[in-house]
Amino acid sequence: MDQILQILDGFIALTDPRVFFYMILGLVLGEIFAAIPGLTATLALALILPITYGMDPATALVMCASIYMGGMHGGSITAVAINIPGSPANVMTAIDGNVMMRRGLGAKALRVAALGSAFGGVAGALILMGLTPIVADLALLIKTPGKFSLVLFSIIIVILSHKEVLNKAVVATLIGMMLATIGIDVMNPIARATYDQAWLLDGIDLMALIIGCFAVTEMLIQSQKGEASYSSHASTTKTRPRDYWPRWSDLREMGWLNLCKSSIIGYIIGVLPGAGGNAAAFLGYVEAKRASKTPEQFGDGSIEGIVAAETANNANVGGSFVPTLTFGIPGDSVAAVILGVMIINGLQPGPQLLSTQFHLVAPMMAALVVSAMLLPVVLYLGGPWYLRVVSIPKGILFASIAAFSLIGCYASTYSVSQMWIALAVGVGAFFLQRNNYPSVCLLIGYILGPDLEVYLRRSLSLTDGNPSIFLTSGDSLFFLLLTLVFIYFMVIRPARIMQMD
Amino acid sequence: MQSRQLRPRLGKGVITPVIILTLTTSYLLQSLKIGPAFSPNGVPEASFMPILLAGATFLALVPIILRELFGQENATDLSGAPSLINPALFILTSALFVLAFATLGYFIATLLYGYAIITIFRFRDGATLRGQIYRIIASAGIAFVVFLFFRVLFKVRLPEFMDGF
Repeated sequence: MDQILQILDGFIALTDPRVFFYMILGLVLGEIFAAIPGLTATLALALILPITYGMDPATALVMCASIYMGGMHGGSITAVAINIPGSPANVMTAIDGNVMMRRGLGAKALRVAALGSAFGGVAGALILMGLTPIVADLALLIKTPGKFSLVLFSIIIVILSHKEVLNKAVVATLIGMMLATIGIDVMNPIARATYDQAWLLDGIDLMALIIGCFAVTEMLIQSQKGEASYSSHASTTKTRPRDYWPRWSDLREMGWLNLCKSSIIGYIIGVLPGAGGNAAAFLGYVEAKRASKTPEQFGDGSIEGIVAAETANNANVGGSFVPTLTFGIPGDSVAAVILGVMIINGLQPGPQLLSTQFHLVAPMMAALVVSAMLLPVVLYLGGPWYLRVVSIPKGILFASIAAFSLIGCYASTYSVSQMWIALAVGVGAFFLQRNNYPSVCLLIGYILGPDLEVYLRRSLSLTDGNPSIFLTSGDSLFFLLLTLVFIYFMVIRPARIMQMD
Repeated sequence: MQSRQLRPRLGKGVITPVIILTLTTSYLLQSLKIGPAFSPNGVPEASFMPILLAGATFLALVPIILRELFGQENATDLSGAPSLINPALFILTSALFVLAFATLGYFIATLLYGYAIITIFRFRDGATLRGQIYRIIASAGIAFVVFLFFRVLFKVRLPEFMDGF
């Protein structure tokens, strides 16, 4: 009951003009960054990270939540209009959306995508609000060995989600974990891997790591491509604002069952670490096609297909907050950066946060609902403009982002050394990515590595170094068995099926 | 035939794992200096995790390096990868920007940095006067917008000319 009241307070907090301004700013930023191919919501979050120092944590989280929500939808605009999905989560939308666009039904495709995103976003956020207190109560029951096995489970699942480059995902995760050990030991005042350099005693700052991994690396990747514009495609698209306003007939075509089912699929996928919006959209789409009375239309301009993909990927947002908030385990790169915002602002995600500081998280949950509801409005107001934004010359865009990201590192600590670290991390992450080492694994390793170490060492200190505690403790055994189940279904079984084929 | 298949080939893909291997070895040597991995009663100490991580990295790197050296199918294919000239220019420009930021101050450093990045991305034709004017105006605009954002909106004190001296 107390938490329901705090959530209502969260909605009231959004009526503060300043908080509302940041929510809208975040939503528009997320939409624009996701719409522009090459830019991502993760990059938008990395860029706003330094300015969150100047905000109160609740406002910062509101902005992050709306960037996430906008970012999941924004990519559908370019997916439909120019057949270039702004993010991997919008690939399925491009399949049917662009067919509709070529038939002159682009505005309708964008309308139903926005409505589906809004429905999925609201549904995911409401399920999050309903279930988080229960999951948090359960999380309190997990003891130290169980926490170790849970963190290990999450790390392994994130690695397994990159199964096409499994070894490289392992190496990237281990590099992240090694970077996290630089500085003072997590349990004793002993310097580790500092190479006798005093400036390394504080370790590598999370913000410099995030900006390096996601902003600097992206600039380096884009610089390989040089100037490229989508204006030639975009200029052929002529629409009016009223074309984007939702109609009742759209809702009938979308199908309520399709909306509800895709929301649940998206939410469940979101809860699983490593799966992300693209997996949610894919599974939502596949299920909608399976259950459809007109499966032959899928791939040929199916409204059901667009709705299923967009509903599922936005419902995924609510789901991905479950492991992030209740266990401090981010499921994907966006959640990892939001977790970084929490840590940088002095919050420690986990059951304790939800029981003692729920009032700081409640506005963020409310922002998920409100920003999802505003998606059709943002499309209505900005629809005709989005394609012009996409046409901004890359030179200006990336010069601005490069300046923002490096000066952002300076702004948070007034230290030029943070700019150097971000640059060095960015260069390293660029070469890793160029060789197919996923940088999201590096970030997850960096964030979860210290937790893994603390829980491992605390557990072993209880038994004088006897590792059998992980098998005798019920919660730990459960997560270890769960890990084995996932390894079987994600690696061993597909390999066997491939061998048999 | 068999011996030809097992002949190692030194592709570009092997460079990254070898660099990681070298850095991990250096990290391991640093970690070994901390002290023993376990206390006398078997409890892990500060060096335990770094040694474990370094060991695990070595193990994970072995199949990658072998694949890059001997594998044909799964080796990293960088043959079609874009040129590194622009990224190298970007890194050099960014490093110079960080150096200039504290000494030349925010405005001059950002103006020059913006101009350099715009040039790397080949915005407008740099050979014409009009193109150069566009580039200068765009970089001045970037410096002004970033200033408005950090200094005016978030009250961040940005370095001024010769602040670093």
